[in-house]
Amino acid sequence: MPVHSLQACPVSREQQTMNSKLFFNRRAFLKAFACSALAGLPGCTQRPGKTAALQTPHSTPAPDPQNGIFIDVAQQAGIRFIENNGAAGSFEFVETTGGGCAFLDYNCDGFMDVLLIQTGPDPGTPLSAPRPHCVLYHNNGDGTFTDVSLEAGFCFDQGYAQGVAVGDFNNDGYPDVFITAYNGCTLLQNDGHGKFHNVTQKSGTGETGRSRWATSAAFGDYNNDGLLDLIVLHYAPWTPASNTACHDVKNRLDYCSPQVYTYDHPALYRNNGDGTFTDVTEETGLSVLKGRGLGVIWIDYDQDGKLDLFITNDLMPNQLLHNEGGRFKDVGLQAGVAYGSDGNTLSGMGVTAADTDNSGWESIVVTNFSSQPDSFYHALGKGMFEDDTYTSGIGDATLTTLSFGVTFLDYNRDGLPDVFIGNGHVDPYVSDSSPNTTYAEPKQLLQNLGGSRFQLVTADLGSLAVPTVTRGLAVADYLNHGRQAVLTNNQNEPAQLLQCRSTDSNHWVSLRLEGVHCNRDGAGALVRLTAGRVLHFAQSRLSNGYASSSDPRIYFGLGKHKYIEKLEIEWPGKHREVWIGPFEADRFYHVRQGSKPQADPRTRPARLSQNAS
Amino acid sequence: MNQATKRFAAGICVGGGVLLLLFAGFKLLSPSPAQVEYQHGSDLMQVQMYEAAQKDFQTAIRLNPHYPPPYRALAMMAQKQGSYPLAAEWWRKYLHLSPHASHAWCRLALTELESGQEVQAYQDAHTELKLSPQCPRAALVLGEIDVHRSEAAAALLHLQTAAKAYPNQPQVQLAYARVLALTHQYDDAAQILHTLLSAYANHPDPYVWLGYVYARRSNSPQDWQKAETFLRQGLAIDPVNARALFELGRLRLMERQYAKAIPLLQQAAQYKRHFLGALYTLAQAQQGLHQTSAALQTLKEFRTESDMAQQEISLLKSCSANPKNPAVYLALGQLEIKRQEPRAALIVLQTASKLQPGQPQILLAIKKARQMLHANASALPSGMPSQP
Repeated sequence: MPVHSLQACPVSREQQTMNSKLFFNRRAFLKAFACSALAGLPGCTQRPGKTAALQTPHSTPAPDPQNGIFIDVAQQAGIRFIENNGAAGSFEFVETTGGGCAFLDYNCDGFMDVLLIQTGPDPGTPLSAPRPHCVLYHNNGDGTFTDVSLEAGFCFDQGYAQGVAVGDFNNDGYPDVFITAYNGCTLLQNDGHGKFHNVTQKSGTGETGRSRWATSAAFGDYNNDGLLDLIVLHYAPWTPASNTACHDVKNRLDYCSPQVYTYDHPALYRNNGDGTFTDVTEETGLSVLKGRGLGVIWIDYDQDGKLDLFITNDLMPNQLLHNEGGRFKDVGLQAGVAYGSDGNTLSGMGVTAADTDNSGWESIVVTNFSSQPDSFYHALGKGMFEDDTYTSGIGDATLTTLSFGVTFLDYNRDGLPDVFIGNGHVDPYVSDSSPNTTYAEPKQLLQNLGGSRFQLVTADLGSLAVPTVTRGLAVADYLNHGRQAVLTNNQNEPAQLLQCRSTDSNHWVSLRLEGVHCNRDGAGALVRLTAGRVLHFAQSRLSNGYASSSDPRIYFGLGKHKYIEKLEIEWPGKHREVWIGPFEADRFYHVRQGSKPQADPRTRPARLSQNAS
Repeated sequence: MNQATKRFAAGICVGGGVLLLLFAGFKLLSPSPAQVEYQHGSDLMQVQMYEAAQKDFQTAIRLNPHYPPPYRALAMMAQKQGSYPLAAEWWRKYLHLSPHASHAWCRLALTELESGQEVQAYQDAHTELKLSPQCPRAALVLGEIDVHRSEAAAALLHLQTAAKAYPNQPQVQLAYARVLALTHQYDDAAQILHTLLSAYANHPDPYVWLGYVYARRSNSPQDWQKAETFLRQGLAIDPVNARALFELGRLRLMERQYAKAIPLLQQAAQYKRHFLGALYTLAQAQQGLHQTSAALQTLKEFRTESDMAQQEISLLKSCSANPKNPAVYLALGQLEIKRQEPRAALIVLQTASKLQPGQPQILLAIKKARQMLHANASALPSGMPSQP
């Protein structure tokens, strides 16, 4: 049976409509935007002047989606998912922010599986049928995926879902899942036998019935007790009744500016180790923060052994929360990461971090609204940053786009992390007021040229040039072939699985960490390796970008170097281990705390099936 | 009745009718006393005898309070003399009598904007756009407001309309070039600004904004050199131009000449209140020189100002979204008091007071704003204006 015909869950009417008719019941304007990806289907003729070539702000030749650096293989792989944000013309503000996605190896078979977040009818709409749920796809190990939502326990109402955080909160070796949503989140515990159990109520992380608008979340061990804690961001107090009607330049009903709404604060849940969490928002100093939180990462920015937080806020300053041993203090302003280069407040969306210049310190990229450049906060070391947005080349490349999802990846494996950005505006009418900006936008790849200078890749874009309204994105080597692929969740359009087709012959290495005296995921570990006398540095991080979680294995491009000379891991709690190589490149290693790195017994390369190839 | 009498009576009737018709025609064709006064006043205004003209217009209003033109004339005259709040009052009275008058709402909006009544200006410009969607004055007003509210895309669209309608108006062209520069369209901005240099030679702004454009267009030394030259030219015309000082300070900061940047940025912050960019950049320069405590102090000041500026924009947008909610106006008024802007506070508090007369918190805030305004006026040395 072809994989794509499998239907895992009892299908609700809404889900059926979505899957089979591809949201033809939507208002005409949304249909028109969706058509860019679905040209050729009945009722979905592409509008003149809206070809991918015209919508690519920086490209000159008309791109071919089937040829290029990244090719969308979602259809062949059996991923047929459309995130329906529920927009039906009432312009409820909450419609603009969903949804995220994740790569996770839920059954520990060595292949990264896929989880895509579904929003569904907006919170103001009474449900006429069960709400469509998030979908879990099992990686078959041959380049294809199977929808296993039913057997994995995902077929229930997860609310107006927004994002996802993945982490092994009970240290049993199997990744668990936290789904953020408007008006109540969900914690799903993985039983290790392919099924997730809803433990929200017991865990105390649900925020049920409090009308809070949770966006991104991330697992991280802030107190180094070996248990993953959970940070949950909130956007603003909002209810369908409080939704304000605003109008665009042509006096049509439109989404309001975020400033019409107030702000909220994040919540921090401390893991008690018995399946329950304690809300420590107040005692850790987070309750006094003000923000319209959208993106969050755990980052030990000053490498003092305690995980700090970086939070982006929509039209409010970014926050860099320094962990002062149980309490957090916002040092974003002093560290130079809170504002734009002239002190202007930006609309922070997603956030990611990587060592872009082999300095041993992670620099930070924040995605922002259109007409604002995405920010590049270049790490100077010891906790200080310099705003190199324009000098890095990122500023000019990202001025017209509205970016949400963002990640570092090394697409050409040269050892210099590149930036991958998912774009898509929130305003369907944006072209009327900004002729250079479109609602659906192409994705962007910025190649790291070294020295923290980046250049927008404009040739052979392949599927990157297809305009979409992308929100969350995640990265993984899902084939275990030594190349990173990108999963994107797009509003009202099919999700994409973008396989990298770079022809480089560079080397790479992938590390799966296993903590013993710290959290089992090794989240927060600082990894330094030397290859060809070049230092490569990364922090182990479970969630990044926007509302999404990526392959937890740490991936390094090594350029021409075939061997790793030295590997050093600083586990959470300042437990440092150093191994002198040589270790062969182009391998997957399993690094268990206290043991020498070994070839990962769990990982084998995918043997591509007829469908996938 | 004999034939002669009948004829006589008929003649009388016809004659009377004719007379009556003549009288009615005369009444119709001859101007009313109010019209006479208005016409006289208009003639006087033509020859710039404003005081006498004003008296005639007021007499015309006394004679016929429902006759709209004198209100319009008084509004135009007040506007010409720079009495914007007064002009706004006359425009409102005029529009009360002729709500569909052509291009009056946008003129009202312009005067309101000039007198700091941003919320009303925003509403009235939108009313104008409903009557005449292409009205360039309304576009100009909305463009300026959009700039203040950091709505770059909308500002660009509105000011583009205004710039097309007024190709020979340097102020409109400058406003458009400025928003082009702010939205990073440097080449388009430079083109307009270069044209303005000849038409507007004694004004610092085209030079200063050209400096802005070249300082940001690229990192090339040639562009930075051009920026320096234009900024210096702007400063030669207006030595206390905060924007020019800031841009020069910013250039020094990018060259890592922190010691030279600091005095320029300090002056910029001094000459323009609430200048966030100047404060933020000053702190960076201080950090560059390891003046840690000074940098922290500046950052603290910046943060306070920045938070208040964000709150201001947020409340202004809330006022536009909920124009009948006195609580939002009160909050905005209280914020303006906190920002040491009593004049702006009074304007919004008076609106709050109209929406909810006698509300104690509003009255208290008005009292506070008035006290602050008086204190500011008395604290100023003689001859200095009370508002920068």
